[in-house]
Amino acid sequence: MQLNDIQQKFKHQMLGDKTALLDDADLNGIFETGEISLESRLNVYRTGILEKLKNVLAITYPSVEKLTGEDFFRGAAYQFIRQNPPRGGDMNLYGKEFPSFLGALKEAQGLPYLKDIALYDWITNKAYYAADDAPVSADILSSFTPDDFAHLTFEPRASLFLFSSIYPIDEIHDFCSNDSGDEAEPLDITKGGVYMMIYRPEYMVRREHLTKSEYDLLDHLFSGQPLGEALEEILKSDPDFGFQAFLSRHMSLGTFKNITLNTMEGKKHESTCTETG
Amino acid sequence: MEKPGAYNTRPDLPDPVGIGLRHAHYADIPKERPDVGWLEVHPENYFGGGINRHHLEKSRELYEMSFHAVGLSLGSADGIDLDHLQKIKELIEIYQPFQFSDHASWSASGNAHLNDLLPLPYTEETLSKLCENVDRAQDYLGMQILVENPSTYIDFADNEMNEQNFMNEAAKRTGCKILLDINNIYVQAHNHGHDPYKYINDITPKYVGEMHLAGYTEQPVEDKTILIDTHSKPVHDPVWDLYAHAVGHIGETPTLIEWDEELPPLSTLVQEAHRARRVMTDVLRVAYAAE
Repeated sequence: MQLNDIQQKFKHQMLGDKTALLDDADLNGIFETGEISLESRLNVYRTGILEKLKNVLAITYPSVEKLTGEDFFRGAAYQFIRQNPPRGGDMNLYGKEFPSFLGALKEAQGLPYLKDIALYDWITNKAYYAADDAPVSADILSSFTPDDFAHLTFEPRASLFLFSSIYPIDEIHDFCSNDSGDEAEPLDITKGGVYMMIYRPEYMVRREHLTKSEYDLLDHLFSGQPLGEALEEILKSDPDFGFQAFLSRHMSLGTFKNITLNTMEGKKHESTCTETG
Repeated sequence: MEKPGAYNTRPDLPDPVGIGLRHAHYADIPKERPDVGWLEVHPENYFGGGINRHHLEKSRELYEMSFHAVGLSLGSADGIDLDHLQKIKELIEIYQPFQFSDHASWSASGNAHLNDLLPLPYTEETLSKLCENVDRAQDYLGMQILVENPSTYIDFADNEMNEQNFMNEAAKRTGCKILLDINNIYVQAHNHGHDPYKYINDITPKYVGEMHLAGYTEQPVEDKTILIDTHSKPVHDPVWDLYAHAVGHIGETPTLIEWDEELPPLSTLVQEAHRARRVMTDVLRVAYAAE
């Protein structure tokens, strides 16, 4: 049997239904079994693969594991891995589809916010491993004339993602992160949603709460819209929006990688509304 | 025909024993500056940016480094992933490891990468494919690489050669070196009923560029025991004995203490490294005295 066939069959045995092995005469002919059965030997590999990938997901999705418990998480992870094995060897970015998978998982319907907290974990993980970069200096603003401002475009930091949810995901995340052993306050998931940006200014991933208008303006800007057009839309729904305060805050936070005149940047946006629909 | 190691860039190390740089010891290593010759890292942990690279830089300022990859899938019939190779190349250019290695195993088939070191049948077809992938990696990276013998829990019915000859032949044909994992030899000798000392004796000494030592776990299966290469324990005594035999056969060789799960305090890793150094020194002293 050719190497390619052996590897395809082996892969199938690792990710497929365990009983499939017994019907596969080809595979049984490939191996020496000795005193320990073929199934037991293959099961060493199967367990190793599934557990290692489950551990990868647990590192990326710590809030999900905390909320669901180890046993539930293992069961969900194994099911996910079989359906969505990694496509490459970079495990830092494995599991993008896990939030959507959890959102559709029948057994998880009792936790309606599970998909959103998973997406929060995923975005935090992406920010953690994003390329290093530096914020644009506020000095750049003095190089523009007042007439230029309407035509400015804003590029976000490589690690920056916008996030929104109808649930208080920040509080749910903090609840999950509480390892102090203290009795945590009960969660009130009806208290309202959040608008946030998640990014890594230097080494640590941070989150910043945003107003709805602030979130929308950043969303428009990071879609490549020039400042004038984007701001006009925000002012329609929020006439009191203070652009100077917005700009001052985000220059201070280091939100932008670059600000340029008359260039279009690609969209960089993730939210529960659009990513996982 | 034997291919010379065209890219042999390894400098003489002042101290042949090394330990792994792992997340749990990021802060301890620059602070304690353990008495070891070099550090080993999995380059895949440093893909992307962020704080991991910051810690890598801090340690690189203090130590020579080897890169030990786990994701190239050198034994894949599909070939190797150039995107993965490019990410490794970028890290090599930045951190200048003294050597780079991966495994004589496979992880990827079709559209799935199984994130494990899976066994190969030792056939001429597999050898050709592995050599093709090794050649490609060496040419792309512009350096000699090392290929490690794997731990296996299953044997193939149609093997055309034993593993040690497979490894020798891969080194001969590609100019790569063998990373001889002593624990893996012991583990699979137990699992398949082979003689680990014969395995070592069959290895051509000049091909070996590094050795690994690690601890295995015993797993009961059907009233028998399979040894699993978990990297979660101290090196077992029979593996130390086998290591002494390997040093006697091969000579002074950079040696790594591997420990990836249930990590102990840094001092424990260093003690294991010092034991490796003592074993190597003792064996070589006896060998020189006999000459």
